Amino acid sequence: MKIEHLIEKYLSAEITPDEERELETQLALLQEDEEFYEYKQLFRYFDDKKCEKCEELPAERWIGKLETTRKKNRKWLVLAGGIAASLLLVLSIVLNVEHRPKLEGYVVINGTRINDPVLAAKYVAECDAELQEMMRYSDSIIEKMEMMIEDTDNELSDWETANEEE
Amino acid sequence: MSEKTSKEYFVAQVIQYQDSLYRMAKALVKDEDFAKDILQDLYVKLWVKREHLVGVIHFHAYMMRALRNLCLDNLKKNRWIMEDVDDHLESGTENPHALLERKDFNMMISKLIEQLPELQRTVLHLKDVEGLDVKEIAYISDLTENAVRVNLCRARQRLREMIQGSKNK
Repeated sequence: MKIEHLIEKYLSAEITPDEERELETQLALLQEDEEFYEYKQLFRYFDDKKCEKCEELPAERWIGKLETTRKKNRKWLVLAGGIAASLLLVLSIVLNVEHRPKLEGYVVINGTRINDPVLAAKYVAECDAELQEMMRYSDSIIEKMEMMIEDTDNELSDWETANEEE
Repeated sequence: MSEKTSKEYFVAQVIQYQDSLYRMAKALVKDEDFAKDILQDLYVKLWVKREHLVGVIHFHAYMMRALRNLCLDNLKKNRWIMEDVDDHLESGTENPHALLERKDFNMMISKLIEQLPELQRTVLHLKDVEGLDVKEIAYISDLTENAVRVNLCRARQRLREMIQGSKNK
């Protein structure tokens, strides 16, 4: 195939790998003053580029970075964990201090919490008086009931005597 | 830890493509040191998610795609401008005059390629330097195969025009 035709195919991106090899072979034979020499130079430029190596980036340089990255990640985890734990500790201490029950004596009377001992004694005295009153009242009831039982017993014995006489 | 997520396996996988990755990064960011920094970032990023890479079949294409994205991100952040100098040419059998001429031409081509739009530059590099096929380039550049051919065609045509233009000057 003619070189012009191959170049045309190359430029329109329709060239096959075999044709491209043929083009390279034909270009390699060209002399400086011949037509299409710039394509020879262009292909040589691409060849030079293909040989370019990354020599100044030895594996040791970035492998070390990989190790540091892993360690860095761990460091971050430890640091974050430490901070979280410290915050939790401080928070729990603060909350504990705020909500700790005061160590003073108190009584609960009828659902009311009373810290004042004088007031508590007054409430206790009132309650005691009420209780005494209630006990007195219940004693009088018991007494009345006993009298009623005694009366009933007497009436019952009278009725039995009368029946026996008949 | 499985064999495929071990450091040795990861390093072996990466090292075999290092030169190709470096060329690609350099072609995109146009600076050797910047390209190396990006490459290191890429390795670290891939290392961090190495467990997800076990299922990747075309590791080279996958890395090239990740590298391209990383380069573009970095370029957005820092607008780098560089002077591209080809010092990697070996003298071989060429005479000093021919070697100098070749270096000059390479420098000129490098500068002309830099003027191409990013997508055309990427496609041209992947095809003509890395020798990848259209399917792989489509995956790396996130394009359809047809779009790859169109961009490649435009890049080559534009490059030809620019070479002719600079020769006429």
